[in-house]
Amino acid sequence: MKPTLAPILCADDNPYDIELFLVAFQEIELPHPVEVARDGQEALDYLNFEGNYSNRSPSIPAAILLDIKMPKINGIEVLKVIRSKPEWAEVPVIMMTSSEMQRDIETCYQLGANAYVVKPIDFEKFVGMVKSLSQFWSLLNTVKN
Amino acid sequence: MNISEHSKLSVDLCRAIVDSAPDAILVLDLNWHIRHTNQLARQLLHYNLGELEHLRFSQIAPGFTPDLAEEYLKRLTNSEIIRFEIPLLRKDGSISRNEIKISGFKNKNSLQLLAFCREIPSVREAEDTLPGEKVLMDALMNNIHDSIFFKDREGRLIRVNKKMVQDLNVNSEKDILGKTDAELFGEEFGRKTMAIEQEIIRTGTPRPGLIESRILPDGKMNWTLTTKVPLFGPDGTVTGIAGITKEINNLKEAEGALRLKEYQLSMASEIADLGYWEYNVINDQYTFNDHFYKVYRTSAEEMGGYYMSHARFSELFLHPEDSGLIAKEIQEAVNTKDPNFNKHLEHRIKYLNGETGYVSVNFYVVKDEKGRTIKSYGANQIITKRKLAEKARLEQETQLRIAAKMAKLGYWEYYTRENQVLLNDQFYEMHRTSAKAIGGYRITPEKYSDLFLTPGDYQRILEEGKKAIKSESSAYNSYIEFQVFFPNGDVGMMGSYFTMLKDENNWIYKTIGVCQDITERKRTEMVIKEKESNLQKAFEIAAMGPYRYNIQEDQFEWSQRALRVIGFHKDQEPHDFQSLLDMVHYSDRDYLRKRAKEGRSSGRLDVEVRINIKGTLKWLRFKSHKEYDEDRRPLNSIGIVQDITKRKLAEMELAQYRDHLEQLVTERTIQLENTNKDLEAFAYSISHDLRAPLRHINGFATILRKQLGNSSEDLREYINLIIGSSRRMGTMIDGLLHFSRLGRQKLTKSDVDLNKMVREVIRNFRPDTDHRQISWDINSLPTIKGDPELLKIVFENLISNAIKYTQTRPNTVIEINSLPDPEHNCCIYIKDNGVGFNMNYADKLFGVFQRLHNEEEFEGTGIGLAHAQQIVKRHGGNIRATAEPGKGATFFVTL
Repeated sequence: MKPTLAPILCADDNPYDIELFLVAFQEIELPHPVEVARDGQEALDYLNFEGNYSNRSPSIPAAILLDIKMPKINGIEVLKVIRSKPEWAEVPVIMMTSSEMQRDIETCYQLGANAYVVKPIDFEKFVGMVKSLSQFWSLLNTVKN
Repeated sequence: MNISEHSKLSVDLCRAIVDSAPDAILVLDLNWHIRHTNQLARQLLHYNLGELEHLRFSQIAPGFTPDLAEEYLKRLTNSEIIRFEIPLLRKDGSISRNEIKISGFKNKNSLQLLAFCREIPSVREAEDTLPGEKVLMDALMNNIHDSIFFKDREGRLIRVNKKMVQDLNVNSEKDILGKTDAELFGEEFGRKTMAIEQEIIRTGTPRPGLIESRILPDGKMNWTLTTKVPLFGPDGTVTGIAGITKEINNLKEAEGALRLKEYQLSMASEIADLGYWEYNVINDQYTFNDHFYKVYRTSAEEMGGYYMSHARFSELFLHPEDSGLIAKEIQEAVNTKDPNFNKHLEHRIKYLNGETGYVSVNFYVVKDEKGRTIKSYGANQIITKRKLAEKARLEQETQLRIAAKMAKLGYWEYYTRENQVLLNDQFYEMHRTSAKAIGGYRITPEKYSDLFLTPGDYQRILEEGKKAIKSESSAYNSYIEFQVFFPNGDVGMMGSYFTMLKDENNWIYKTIGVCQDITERKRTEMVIKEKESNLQKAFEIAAMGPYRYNIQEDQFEWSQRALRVIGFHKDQEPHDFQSLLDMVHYSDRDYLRKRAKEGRSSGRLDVEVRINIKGTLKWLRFKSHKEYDEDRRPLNSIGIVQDITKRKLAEMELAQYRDHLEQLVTERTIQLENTNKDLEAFAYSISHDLRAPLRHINGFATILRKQLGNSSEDLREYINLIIGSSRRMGTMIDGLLHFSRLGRQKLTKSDVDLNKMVREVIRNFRPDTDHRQISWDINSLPTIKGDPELLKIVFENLISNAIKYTQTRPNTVIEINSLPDPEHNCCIYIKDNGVGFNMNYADKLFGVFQRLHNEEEFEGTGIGLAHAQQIVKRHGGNIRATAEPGKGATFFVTL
């Protein structure tokens, strides 16, 4: 058995998008396990070992996909928390949005995001995007290690 | 004060007190004899030291009766203080009204009286006496046997006495008060008397002994002797006149005649300037009367009496050249044997001021029983005016003739008796005719008038004759201008100076005149007048007026108009620069000073300052330039001053509006910025929220298609449509978002090389164009200022359109070129040979999502041209297109 890879954390409040992500991960045959947070609060819970995630394995995610527009706590706030923890400082974080917004782009990169991505409407492009991202974060992790 | 208190005082002490007291004090004994006085008392009554002592009090106080003395003494012994008012008689007989306070005091066992006198001020005295005088006056007015009247300045009766009412045969004074002589006695009589009254009012001198006669209603002649005097107000001006009229019809005939004669003589003397004199041969002395002095413009007062030696008279009044003549005449009068000797002569005199006059003397002699001349007497009459007139006439006549000849003036003489006008050649020449044409140098005035004059002008000339007769002068000089109709039909203007000569019977025997053609002058005058009036009008309209500033003397001269424009108070206009400066608003003073200084060197001034007139601020504009004398020294500043208050107010109002506008713009900008932010948020949210479901539709449709595999061809086709539609909608949303963002994006301008940009764009399109046959015709394009990123979008859109709509052509030709544009930097056009479009729809070309072709023919969202237009407009340019279906389209971008 192959050693268990670090999980990918995917935080998005939209269940359809989660579904599309999961299909896309299947299509690209993503080797990592995927952890899904249904909103910003769940993402924080995961990071802090709280709530449903109080007993989760202590591994640090290989990459985090954060939807920006989420109820209660949005992606940017989650990003801030991530970058405030030294052990998470180098986890690749990809900020996701349905629509590009200049101000968000600047904020995200300033707060230490690694990528800002607009989710394409075309599913084929969507899959292509996910594929590029996975290559992108494995590259980042390789460099890091 | 009472007796016991003063009993201890010594006489000396008492006197010392009396002498130094601030009041006039008399010390009296019980018999009311004055025992002692102080300095003030003597001053009050104008007596010297010692003169008042031993006089009885009643001697200086005439109203102090023994009864009063007794009564006061009684009260004084009861320690009462007596206070009363009484007039005191001064040494010179004048009266001083005094308030007297008397108290008694004991001196060496005997009672003495102390009288304090204080003068009552004259005003109070007048107040006291006025009612008394009024009573007296009323009594006098109503009991006197002559008519007394008072009149105001206009000659209206304001007060009359009973006698006057009786004389005028009216019921009460009310019937005549307020009326003038003209209203009471008829126009003719009134005119005469009122003229005299006006003279009195004007000169302020009385007119005694006026003899007036008027015809009474019963036909009898009423003779009156009236004296009229001016009434002076407190300020010295004449407020009216008072008069007293005595009827002299009832005087004894002889007496009446005598008086009448006396008065008539006096009147005649005055009117004829006759002065009487007597010469006493024995003591070589003249006696003169008042009229005589009047003739010599002096008076007995000035000369120190009515007597004068011949030597003095000769020295003072005789013309040096004629004094010998007079001496000779006197000698002749003395030596004559003829008791009826009478001589008339005219000679020159000199007035005290050195002027020369002429007198006519008529004199007689008086002989004693031995036949010696003891006296001569005569009358002198002033004839200066006559003499001068005669002299002037002689001179004038000669001068006129000479002048006429020299100046080629038209000369004319009119002989009344012959009714002939004598004319000279110049006169005819001036009238554009000749003596030959008219028939000689003599012509009747009627004929002259018929030939040359308008009836109105002829009448005016005749009127002059009437004026001449009325005039007192023996030579009446005048000038008249009249229109002349020349024989050739022209109309001209003549001006004529003339003198009408009168004989002693006031008969105009001859008129002489010179005539001048003033047609040209009149015409010029008219033109000048018109110009002036235009100028005046212009000044009026522009509220401006001229002024002059004398630089050397620092003096302003303001024209009437300038004064009116500025609205200076009378006597308040500034005469020098400093006083002008003083009137200028303090915050403008330094400015005016500075500009005036600059103006002194540049020679020109144009300044707008505020000035304080009658408490209100006015804006004035002074505009002037310097005038120099021959030596280039500054002489005057000639300028105009204009009231620009209205303009300034309008400007200020405008400035206010501008400020307000700026404020409004700022507000609007903020509003707009807010709206933009809202719009951005809205666009983002639209795009975000619409894209998500689209993504889901597309995603799941794609997944579905995959799962269907190749099993159901039809279902797969439908799914493809869903995917296509969602993709298309995604593009539209992106375009919309982009478009909305573009409108708000700031321009970052720099130099843009369009050649480079266009080639880059074309290169980017290579993947789409490689398989096609496109010939690019690109000429030299300019470099312009603009936002490179945005301009690139414009050319991307236009070039992509050109590529797109020519895809059906086997040989595509796309031309990109620039046109010179005078108003803008450049005009670039992109011309293709594609499908073109119908110009009817040209207005829809640049609308968002507007398409002129359907999706199946040419794919596209219909937002590209809207984009391009928005960018070009933001650069201050415009974009337009011309096209024809099937023949291609040309897009013009003007930047």
